[in-house]
Amino acid sequence: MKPLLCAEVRPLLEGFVDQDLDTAQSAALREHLAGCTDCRWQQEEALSIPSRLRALRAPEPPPLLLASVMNAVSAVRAGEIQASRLIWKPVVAEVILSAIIGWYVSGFAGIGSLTNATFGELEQLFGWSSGAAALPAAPSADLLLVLACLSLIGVTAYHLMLIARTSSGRKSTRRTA
Amino acid sequence: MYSVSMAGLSGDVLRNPAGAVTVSVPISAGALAERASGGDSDAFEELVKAYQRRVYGFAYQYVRDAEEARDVAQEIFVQLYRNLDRYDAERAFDPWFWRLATNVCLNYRRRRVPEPRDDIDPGGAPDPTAMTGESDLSLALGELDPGYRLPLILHYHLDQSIESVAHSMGLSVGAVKSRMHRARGILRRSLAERSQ
Repeated sequence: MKPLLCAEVRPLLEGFVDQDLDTAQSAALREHLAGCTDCRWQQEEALSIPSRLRALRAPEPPPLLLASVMNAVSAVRAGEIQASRLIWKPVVAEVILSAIIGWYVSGFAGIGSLTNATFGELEQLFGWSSGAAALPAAPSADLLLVLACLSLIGVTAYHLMLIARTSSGRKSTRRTA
Repeated sequence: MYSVSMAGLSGDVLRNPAGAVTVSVPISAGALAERASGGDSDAFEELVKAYQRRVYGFAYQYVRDAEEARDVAQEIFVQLYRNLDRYDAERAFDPWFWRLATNVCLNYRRRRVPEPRDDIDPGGAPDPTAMTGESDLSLALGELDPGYRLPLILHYHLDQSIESVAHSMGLSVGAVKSRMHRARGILRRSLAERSQ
């Protein structure tokens, strides 16, 4: 193996100190170090850094750290309890709207009649838009159903948003963990 | 029955009717975490007591600022609380916990310019930075990219094995070794420049 230059030796010193180099690299590096004072000094520095890092001290934790952690955890717990209570509130509206829709549709026969009625209304609208018929009157009962369905969709979306918001903290911390 | 903290471990102390201490059963951090996840706030407090010194030291070595270290340490414990139900009691607590702590550090954002606080050390305790003495090595470590600084702190300050560091950082053993070699090389060059 050809002799190494100083610029080639320096990046290898940490690997050499940790004995992570292969035999040929180690031998070439040893040969270079035997004749290079600067690199030998760098090698001594590389040897000393791990023990100096181990000797680095950190200050003692502040006396109020425990209290501030427990306060923060209490706040998190209170927030979770409040969120879990809030999450059930839309269920009442969802049940009422579902009952209204269920009553209106009244089983499979109701669904069939609703489909027929909707199809007829669409036909009338199509006739009006093509100029073949007058504008059909708004069906009051169907309108009630549509409003109930739209309200249910809105309340459900709000409910899902609450659930997502409640679990977002957990999800982000799951990524953290 | 209550819990006590002793040399990083906790134990249950049972008292007989006369009030004398009769039995002391050591409790592992994993068992405390399991109890805490069941809603036992005393167990969580014991866990914080047992780890606060190492967590604060870890946070301090990472941010190099006493006030920010307190914020980071608190965030680590809050995230621990939030994730307790994800801890698998069948596995060792430390690797799981330090992985969480490492990720909190990596996700940490400096949201504000640190301001002097008067709610900590009201008795005028000495500045921790002055106590540790900012050596050239400390300063050079503080200037390292966090991706290089963290494996050094985990390995040399927390005394974790290279395998544990790799687990904490979600990297391979080879990648951790490579980062540590590069990091120490940067420190070596930085120290050489400072000494000139």
